[in-house]
Amino acid sequence: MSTREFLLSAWTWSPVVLTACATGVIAYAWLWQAAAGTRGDAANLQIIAAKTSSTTRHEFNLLPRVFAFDLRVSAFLRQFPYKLLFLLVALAVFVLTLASPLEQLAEGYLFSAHMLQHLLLLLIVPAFLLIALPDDLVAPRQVSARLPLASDASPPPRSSTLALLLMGWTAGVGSMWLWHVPSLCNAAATSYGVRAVQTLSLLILGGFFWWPIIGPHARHRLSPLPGIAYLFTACTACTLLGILITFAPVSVCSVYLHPKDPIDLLPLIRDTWGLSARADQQIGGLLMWVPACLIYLSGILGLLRRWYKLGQVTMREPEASSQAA
Amino acid sequence: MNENPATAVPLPSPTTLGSESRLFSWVATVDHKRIGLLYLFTALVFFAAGGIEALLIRLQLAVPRNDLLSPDAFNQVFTMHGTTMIFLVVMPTLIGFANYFVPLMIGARDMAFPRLNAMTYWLFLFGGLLLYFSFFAGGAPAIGWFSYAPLSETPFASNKGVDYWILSLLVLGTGSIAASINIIATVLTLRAPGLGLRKLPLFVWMNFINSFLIILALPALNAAIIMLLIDRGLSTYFFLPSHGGSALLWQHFFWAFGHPEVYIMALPAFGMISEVVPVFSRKPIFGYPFVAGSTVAIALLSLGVWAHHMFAVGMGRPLDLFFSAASMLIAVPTGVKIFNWSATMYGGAIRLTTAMLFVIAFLLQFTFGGLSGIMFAAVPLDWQLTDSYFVVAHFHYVLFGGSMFGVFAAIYYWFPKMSGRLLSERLGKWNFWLAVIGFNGTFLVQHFLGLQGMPRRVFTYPALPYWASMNMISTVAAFILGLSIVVLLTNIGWSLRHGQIAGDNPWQAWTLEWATTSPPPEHNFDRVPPVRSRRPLWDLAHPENPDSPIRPLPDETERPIDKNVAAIGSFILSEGFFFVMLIAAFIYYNVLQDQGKVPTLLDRVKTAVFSVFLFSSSFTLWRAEVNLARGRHRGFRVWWMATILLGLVFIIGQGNEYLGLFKHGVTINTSLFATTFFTLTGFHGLHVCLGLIGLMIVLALAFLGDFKTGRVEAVRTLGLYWHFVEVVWVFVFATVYLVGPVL
Repeated sequence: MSTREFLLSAWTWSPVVLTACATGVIAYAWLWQAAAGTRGDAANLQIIAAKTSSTTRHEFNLLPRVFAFDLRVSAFLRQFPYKLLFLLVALAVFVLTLASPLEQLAEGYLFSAHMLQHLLLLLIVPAFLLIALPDDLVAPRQVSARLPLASDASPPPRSSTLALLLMGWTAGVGSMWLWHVPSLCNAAATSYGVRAVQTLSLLILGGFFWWPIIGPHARHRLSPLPGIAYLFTACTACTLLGILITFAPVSVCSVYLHPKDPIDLLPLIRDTWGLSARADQQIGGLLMWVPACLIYLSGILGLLRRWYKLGQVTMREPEASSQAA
Repeated sequence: MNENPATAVPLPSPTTLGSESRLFSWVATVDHKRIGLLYLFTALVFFAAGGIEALLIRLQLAVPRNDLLSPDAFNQVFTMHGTTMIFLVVMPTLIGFANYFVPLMIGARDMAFPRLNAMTYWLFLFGGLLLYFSFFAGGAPAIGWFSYAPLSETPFASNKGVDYWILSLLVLGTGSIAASINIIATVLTLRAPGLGLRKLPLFVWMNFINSFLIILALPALNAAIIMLLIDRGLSTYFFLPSHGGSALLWQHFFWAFGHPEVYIMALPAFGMISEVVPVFSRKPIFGYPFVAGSTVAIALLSLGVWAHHMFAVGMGRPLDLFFSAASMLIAVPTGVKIFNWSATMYGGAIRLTTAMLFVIAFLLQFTFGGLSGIMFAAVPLDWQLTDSYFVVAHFHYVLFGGSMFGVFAAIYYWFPKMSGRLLSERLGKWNFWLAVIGFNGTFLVQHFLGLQGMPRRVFTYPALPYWASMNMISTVAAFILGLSIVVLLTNIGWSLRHGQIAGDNPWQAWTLEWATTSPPPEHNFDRVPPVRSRRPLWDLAHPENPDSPIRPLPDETERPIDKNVAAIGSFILSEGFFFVMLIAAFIYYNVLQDQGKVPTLLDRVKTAVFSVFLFSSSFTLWRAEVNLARGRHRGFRVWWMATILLGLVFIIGQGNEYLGLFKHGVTINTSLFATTFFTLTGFHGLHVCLGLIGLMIVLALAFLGDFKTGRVEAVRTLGLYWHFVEVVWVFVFATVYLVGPVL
């Protein structure tokens, strides 16, 4: 089998994955409807939805109306297209992770492919999903941006925040370490049921991990500087595991040492790609060591951006209030 | 107007020192400005020493087959030159400037811990003297500044030079960590009212970030040199391959420190550039959030890419590829800075003072050195050029053409503030041009020498075509560079007496240090001006057109951070990384290498029982703190005593375990397991003992009636440390007793 043949043939359109995507879209639409409903913006939501739908006929027909309504569309709804983009990226990554040749490779052939899946499911998909959620499930965006300045915004009780933090951090870091305990790692590579549990747990735990950073509840978000510490320590913990895996002479997942090879893929991997089991495990460890940390670093840079933007809001504030007057 | 009583730090009254001699007043000083000057002056003396060593190297290499220096003397000289310039010149100079200007720029009266500050200086001085004492104690180290094992091990370096090198670096490293903890606590807790973290002058911000880099990176060096010291002193073999040790582990440990070190020496210089460029371009810095944010990115990236120093050791293609890509990424945030500085200058009313000239040269030379650095990120080029003069040329462009030129700019920029007089611009121009010609003349040709294959660290070379002439150019230019330093020293000496009087703010700069007199009074400020934006003095001078104000965030104003907590938090972070290194070494030799030598002598159950005593001391400590907070002093003392007893039981248990091992003939150099076991548990035990001493001191003070009216923070600080020691034991116990034997 050549690389090209493999890449073209190894797609598995599992109904479970597709159903999950469809459910996700429906739930997402419902969420926006509900969020808009609570704000009396339901009609506008339909306009926006129509505006962003891909059929040209729709756009053509609605164009004048969209302009007419655009003035009335609140800032809350104006972010819908941008948010929708994040949802689409999250779903695309989700499908690529579980339906593409990556899935085939991860199923007992390549540890590194498994690791890539692991990182995408834990760090990328939940992050994009969280960003895609309507910001003001609780507090609208403008308020959230001004929140630290509003004197009446009572901070959440500290203990609950701390518990949330510890839980999120442990979820994100713990799921990485836990699923690389050799027996669990082997089970996930061979048994469909365990894999399903693993996938689901990674998505959920990833959501818990990102919640204090980019969750839709501004109230639950860590302020940027502690947020940086949160991500940095997670990065350290994940680096340590990556280093451990990279330099471990023994196999972390012994399944990948001698793949069973039901679809005769091994010659392609070992000979054409030149990937030995040892190099494979090293790449897996390195994925966790280097690129994973870059994901956290991106989060840190995002937090810095948010932090400095808080200043810009206050700069514009006098103008806004004078306009209001 | 904001008076500044909240941030004032009680200092010994200057009048108590006034009656003493002038020398004594300098020795006993805890004033951050004087300590800063001491740092700078001492670094200057070491700079002279390192410079003379550099000239000796260049003289030896001036002509082919030269015999001015013997091979061994040459090795000693380049080792001392590298170690001196990095640890005794660049780092202390940057810390010295930080010492002098961080408190001034944030409107504070002094550093958070003035006496700790004085201690860091004396650690620096005596650490440096310790290194130089090796010349009189059987010869200086001759192993290169990165001291690769096994060359640095006893069989290959049997004189005491390496031991002095280790001890000196331990002392210096401790001092640097302490200084960084002090800077972090100062920036977090002593800022003038209104000065939020987002408004910090970039020099302060970069020193703040840099301090985190220091406390995270230096523990790797400390752990490595302690292991080397144990190897040399107790005949173990951490890094001796002949006995199963790993020379590669030394490289990993060293470069885990060594690569961040490059940025430790660069970030504060970036800060200096970020102060000088706007002032002499008469524009605010372009894109402040990007300059500040890219600093964080550089610091974090630098912690994770050390393996690119090791492409030539055969780590395997996967490692090479990943680190090649990650290393190239660092160019992005660094490039962001270069663009921001250039954009600040663009369209500005540039004043070509000497300081600004040095900055412009910095921009060109640092970019040049950065680009040759990216070349090294490409693995095949690295293989070709490693250990050649191309490397020497590259890092001198970064460290001299970059960092040191930044320092020169800072000297010309801040000298008026420190002395009250301007440096002579005439001599300054001579200094600048001689430095530019000398520096580029010395190191530009070394790129070509390296490309032609001239190896570094070899005491001589054959008369190959062009080698003699290029080396001669390099040597002559090195003396021109030396001359430029003489001009600088002359300028400083002359201007101290005859320089033009500077006034408070000779450059019409905008940051707080220029709001006070030159030199500043002992208490720094009579009044700290109000801080509403990033340029408080601009706002003061132009009330009709002030910068947009940036309000502090509620985090910064509502929940002020206690300086003791800030300090102990940073200390714990640093110590945590130290233990990570020790645990990593244990795992490397016992779990990863699968030597099957984990002895069955360890009694897991017994140790678990003793561990329970240690863990329960965390509970008693918490009860003690609760009692103290409620004012029940008797209860406090009882619970506190219980904590001490539980800690003692744990230590006795550990001693018992050691004795058992000794009885079975297991000592630290029996096997790699024993070496790593005793090192790891021993260092933890040492921390427990130190904690116990601290606890006992607090207990004694409590019996003497202390903590009734205050100073509770001392108790809390020590409590945090004690909890940390226990958390470390969770990991040590899990690694040594639970995971190790299972895998």
